[in-house]
Amino acid sequence: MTTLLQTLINGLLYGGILSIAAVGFSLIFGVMNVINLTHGIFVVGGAYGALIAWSVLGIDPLLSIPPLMLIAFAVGWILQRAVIQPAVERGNPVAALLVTFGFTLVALNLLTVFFSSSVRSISPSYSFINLRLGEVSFDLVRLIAFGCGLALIAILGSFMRFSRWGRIIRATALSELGARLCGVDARGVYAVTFAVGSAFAAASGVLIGMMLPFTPAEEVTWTVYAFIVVTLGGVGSLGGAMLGGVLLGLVSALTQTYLGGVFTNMVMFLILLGTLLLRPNGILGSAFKASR
Amino acid sequence: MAYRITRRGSIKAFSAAVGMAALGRGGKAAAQSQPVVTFGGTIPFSGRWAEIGQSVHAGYQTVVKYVNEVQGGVDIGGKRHRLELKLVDDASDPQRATTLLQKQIDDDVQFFLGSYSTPIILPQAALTERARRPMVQAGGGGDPIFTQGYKFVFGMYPRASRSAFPAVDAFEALSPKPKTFTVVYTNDPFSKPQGLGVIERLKEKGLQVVKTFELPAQLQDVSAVLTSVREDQPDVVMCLTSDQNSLLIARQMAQSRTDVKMLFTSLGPQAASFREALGKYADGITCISTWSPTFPYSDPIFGSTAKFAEYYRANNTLPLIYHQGTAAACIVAYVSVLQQVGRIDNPIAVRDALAKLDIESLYGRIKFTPEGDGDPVLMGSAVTQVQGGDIKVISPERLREAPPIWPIEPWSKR
Amino acid sequence: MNRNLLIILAALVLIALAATLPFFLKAFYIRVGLSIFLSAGFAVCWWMLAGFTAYYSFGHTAFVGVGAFAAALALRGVADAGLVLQLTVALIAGLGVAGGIAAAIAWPILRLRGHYFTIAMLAVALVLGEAVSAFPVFGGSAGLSLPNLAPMSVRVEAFFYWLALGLLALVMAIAWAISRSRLGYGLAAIREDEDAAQMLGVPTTRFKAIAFVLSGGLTGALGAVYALNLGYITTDSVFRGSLSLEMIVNSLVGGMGSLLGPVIGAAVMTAVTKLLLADLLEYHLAITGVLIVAVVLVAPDGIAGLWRRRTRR
Repeated sequence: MTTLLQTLINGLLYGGILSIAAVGFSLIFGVMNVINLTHGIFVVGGAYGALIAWSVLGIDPLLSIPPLMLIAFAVGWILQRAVIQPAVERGNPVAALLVTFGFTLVALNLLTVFFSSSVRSISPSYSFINLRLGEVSFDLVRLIAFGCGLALIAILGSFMRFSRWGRIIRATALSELGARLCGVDARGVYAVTFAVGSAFAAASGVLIGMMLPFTPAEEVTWTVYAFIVVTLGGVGSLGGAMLGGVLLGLVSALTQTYLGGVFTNMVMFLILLGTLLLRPNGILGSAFKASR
Repeated sequence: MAYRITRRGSIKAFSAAVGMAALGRGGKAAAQSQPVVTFGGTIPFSGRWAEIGQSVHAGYQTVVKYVNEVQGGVDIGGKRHRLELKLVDDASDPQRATTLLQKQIDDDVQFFLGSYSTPIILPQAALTERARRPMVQAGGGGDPIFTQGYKFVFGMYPRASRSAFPAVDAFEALSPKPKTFTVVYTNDPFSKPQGLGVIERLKEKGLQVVKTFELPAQLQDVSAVLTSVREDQPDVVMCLTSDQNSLLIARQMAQSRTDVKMLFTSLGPQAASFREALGKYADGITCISTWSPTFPYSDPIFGSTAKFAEYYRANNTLPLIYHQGTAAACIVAYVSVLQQVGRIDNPIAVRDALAKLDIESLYGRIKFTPEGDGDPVLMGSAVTQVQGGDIKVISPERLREAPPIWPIEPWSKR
Repeated sequence: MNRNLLIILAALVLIALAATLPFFLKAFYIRVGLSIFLSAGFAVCWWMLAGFTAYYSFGHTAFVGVGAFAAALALRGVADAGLVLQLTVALIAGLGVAGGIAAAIAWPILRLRGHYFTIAMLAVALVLGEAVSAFPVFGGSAGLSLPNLAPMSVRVEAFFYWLALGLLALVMAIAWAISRSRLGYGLAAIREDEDAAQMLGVPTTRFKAIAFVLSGGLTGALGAVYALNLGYITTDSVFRGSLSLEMIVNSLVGGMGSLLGPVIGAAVMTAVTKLLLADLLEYHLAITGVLIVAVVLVAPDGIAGLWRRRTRR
């Protein structure tokens, strides 16, 4: 019984990580219908940013989140305006995908040259504190990351719901033409959306860097996980990203305990495939574009 | 955008750039009066194995630089020869690696060094074998490399399935003797045979294997393993895992306060960044080290391991770990053999000499099995343990620097 | 009719010319040629689906991997047979198993449109890759060896060069035949407007499935050759995201509008990455990335598209 409980707790906390990582991706996919292959590299970039802040400047990684988000916002904005928007306008549906892939290669190369592929980890003083509740234990870092992740998602959610920009973004997602007719600068909206998505990806990267060892090559993993979470939970829905992440985390933990570690990835990918085949909108999704 | 990037303009500029790159590649400085011995091969400078590739390259470079600059070349057959490295980036891709190696074979490179990782070295070995040119490599230990009947490939390590035996032997020698073991390995061409080999060896020695875990090659979470360890309480947890996975396991173990009497992670603690990431929780973790700069060997080129380490550190910023040592050993082996043979145009004689080689070098004794891998006893790894933030050799006896800490301090007490 | 005959003749001449090259070139260049033919073959197979129907698969590496492992495992059963038999077994295994899997998933997966199809194919590739690693019977994690099927009298690289050239010619012939057939027109209609096509009586489901199975099966056959050429495969060497991406990039660089596009794209990209960038050790990933971005922005119709625009002036 304890095993089950511990497994569920592990799954929940791990799921929190997955949700956080998927948030930015969900926004971009839902609003702009772009498969954003740069997602993972912003996540990893955020982790490296926090690494520098912590090891060189001595700043606690949690405090480095706001400045890193600003930097990611700027980079994402420029990238979208200069590269992705022109690619989308070229008409070819895979253009955006390829261009984001191209950028990722460049960024990956630069990160590898600058940081080398050594395994890194951000370990502030509270990294190794462990909490016990009866027979079950959990890491303080994961709890903190989970909490911060929730806070981030709540911030993004209220931004989308209540702010002026949030409404404009949602309107443009529902109908670009309609929004334009109302005087909205659609291109500007897309640039901001991408920038916001990238900023949140970077923030999640900081949290992930505190929990898991990372290398530049990890970016593929996080992009793929983002796909799975968003597809499962539902495109364009933040609640969906949370739900998807938590569900996936639970499945992963349960598979590991009861089926065997080798099968965890396979099961996760099967879930992705299954969701696409049976319910492409995902559990909570309200896809903005038709899926079939 | 302030100006329009015209299609035509960009295409012209792009083609010009590509053209110039192609031209610029051509002219390289030549004109040297000394005859040259060229060592060819590919190295992963990018891709999955980039970091290790850079260390391996640094190892090769250090020996070559020393021989050329400090010794003025190596005496082969009465004449001084310069050493030259001709290594290209294979991007950790087997297809690319084989194509690029073929070019070098076409260009009449006689002697080859190894890249890194079995899936790259195995197809490359097929090429060099067919061309009847020797390859001395320190990057591929997978059993398939040495069970194909190849005569021209030599590896500086014992094959994967035997590579972790020294760890089992070291634990067996601990007192009081540990009784129960949990073995963890990942599903890839190196870890898995290593793990299976360890399990066999443990059983042979009458040590009980309580549980084994086969995990995916890229780990994200090992809670299931930890839960089991907490329940079964084995004396020793042996993880035949690569750096990143080892770090994950060790961190999660420490974080969840899963106490063990001994934690072994085959790869990981050798790197300073690993030890830094864990801080005080790294102490006590054991690993295997095929080589350490503190080994007390004498060397035909540098004089001793220590002098090699000194020269390396004076010329490199990349931290000195075992990869540089094993790589350097390849060149030391070649030089020794070339001097014996007395000529640089006879790869078959060089191959025969390598098969019979038995010398002491900065790396240790170099002697290959008939299949080409390192002799499991003479070239077996040392077992090291993190003590006070540094790694110290605890086994075998002849290399021991410090007594083993056994059992290690529980995480909760640190 | 005349034009078709001319095209066939020209193609035969080119193939014959290409086939003579191994007698003049050094082994390295033969290998580059072999790489080009394999990449071009993969790109054409991918294009068979994407170019005709605009269904962009992001997971064709699944078929490469399946073909490779099917061949490797099948060869174990005929280890003592003659070289020709072994080669036939390998090719048929690759074609059959990959084609079979494509047929099995065709109906559910082709119901998805746009990005959902793209991601679903990625998921298929990921699942199959993991399965091959996770279940020891497939041997993906430890790796599988394949025998050297080149006859003693032929140089190995030349053997694979001709084999790859032959398969490329076959694949191109099939693609060309499709484009000239009723199937081809139906697929083009699907690309333009699938719902309209369906309403007009085009058997969209069947046509898509045929294109999908052909695309997947032929990729599998090429995958078998890819594996034979490597001699030793692990999951990572044949189930690689970069293989899927290369197929897409090659097709786009060359131009999606015609059969020659993927071939030209593959030739250009292989030449650039293997020849020019071989010396630019540390930065070749970045340069490749910049190249991809440049091509997409500057020449979205690819090289073939540029050529067409030129000749229209």
